[in-house]
Amino acid sequence: MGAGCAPRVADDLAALVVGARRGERDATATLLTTLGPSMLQMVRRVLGANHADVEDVLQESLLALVRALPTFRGDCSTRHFGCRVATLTSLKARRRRLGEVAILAPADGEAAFEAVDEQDWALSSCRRQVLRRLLDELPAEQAEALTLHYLGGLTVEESARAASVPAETVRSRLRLAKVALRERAALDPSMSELLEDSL
Amino acid sequence: MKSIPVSCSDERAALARRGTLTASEWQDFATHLTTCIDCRMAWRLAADFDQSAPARAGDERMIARAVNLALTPAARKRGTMVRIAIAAAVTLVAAGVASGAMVLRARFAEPGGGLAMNENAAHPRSRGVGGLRAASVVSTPAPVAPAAEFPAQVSDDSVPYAIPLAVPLTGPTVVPAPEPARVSRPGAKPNARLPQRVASVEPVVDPASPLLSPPSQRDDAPGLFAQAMVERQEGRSQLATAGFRALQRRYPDSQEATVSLVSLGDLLFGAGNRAEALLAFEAYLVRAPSGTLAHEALVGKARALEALGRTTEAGSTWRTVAHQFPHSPYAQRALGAGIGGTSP
Repeated sequence: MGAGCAPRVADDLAALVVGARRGERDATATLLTTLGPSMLQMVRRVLGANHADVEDVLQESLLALVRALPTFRGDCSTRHFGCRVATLTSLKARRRRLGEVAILAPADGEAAFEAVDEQDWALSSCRRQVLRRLLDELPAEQAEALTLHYLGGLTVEESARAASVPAETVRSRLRLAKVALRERAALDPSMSELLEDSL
Repeated sequence: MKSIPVSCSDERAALARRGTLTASEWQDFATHLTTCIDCRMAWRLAADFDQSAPARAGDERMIARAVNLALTPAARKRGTMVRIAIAAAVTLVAAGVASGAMVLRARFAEPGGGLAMNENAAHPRSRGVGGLRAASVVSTPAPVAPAAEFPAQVSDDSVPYAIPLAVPLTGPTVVPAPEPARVSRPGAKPNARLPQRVASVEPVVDPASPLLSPPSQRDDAPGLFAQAMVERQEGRSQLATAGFRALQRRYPDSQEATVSLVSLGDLLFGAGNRAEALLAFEAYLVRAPSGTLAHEALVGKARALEALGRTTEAGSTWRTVAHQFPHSPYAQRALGAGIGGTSP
């Protein structure tokens, strides 16, 4: 257990985790089905909603979760644990396929629904792509912290529990990642322009 | 490199995203955003991602396929086999190195041996080091499988897992049914890292476990549910419908019976029995108004109402979808079209 981690947290999926660790098929199936939507959302956010490998990476994530369950001690909630598994698997998939065309394709092109302003949608999509490209280049720990916090919406404390590291470590990683993001924004005229327009 | 101001609080931003800040805290945060470009950038990016990747129709099936694969022993065995192969390869290499070292030592020991003519090679210290290296190679255990791909949390105490068990589960639990393997995309490159998808679902339980038979062969609620889902995936809709009805008749209070209402509704709707499909969807929504399949049930209900010509009620149901599931593609389209009784 990482230093500075808080005590174990209450978890509404605890009984399912225990059953899954005992090898009960039904408990494992129910656990995976319960965590599936949030893990799928995380995979989509990291890869891009329309990325061709979304389903493959989701499968990898669920497999990784099953394999990781025996080592899961409950320092964080099962949902956040699943979120981190999906994050790491997705980031790894991005880096693995950096040289391939698929990852560079306009993977974020969710259908622009009628209710959404097209220009806003395009700007938002552009910003997401900038952040995703940054994730490919950051050190793995910073990329993980940035993903859990920005893409997953976890608090610093929750990210720290999930990663079994002190909260200060997560804050430090986030600080470094933000500096890198700002540098990236400064180098990218379209991004810096977007930042000027923010709020 | 400019540093990030200490006053920037990632914690506060995360709480703001969840809407859990008080009015005064929100005011402070909003004021801070106007002056801090880093927090403003972070806030905007977070909002961008919050709006992205909404749930889609068909997600449930995609998740069910992935779950089935994760539960398939072949998939897990393949990963295990890779690890065993790596361990075996390392062991063989180590044995080879050790054997080579032993041969060299034997040659050193031979009087007049070719290598013994070399003073350095014949030096006892050199031989000792060589022997020590060989011994260290032999005694090195085969590396354990690479486990750093996921957040392994190595236990450092005697209690491996201490989450309280008394916490009741909220909402219906879903036992996913076996579904057929996903058909590969045309022209898609096979992913060698992934285990091959399988059409059949084998039991994961240990032969020594009390769960000797797979769910599809058992007569309890999960077994009946699995049987019906197998019938459905293999295209035997009538048998699947009968299976779901039997499940609801025999185990009316089971979670599987509740979950099966949505599948039954889909089957009935597909068979043209819109009125009964509507009843099934409504029954699910009554039993589990915030259940895992509430979105699917609401969409099914709206479609059934439309098919029955009850457009006003259908429009109301679509608005409920939009209200309860604002990220649903149905909701987005429904709102965009400003429907009153039209299917998105």
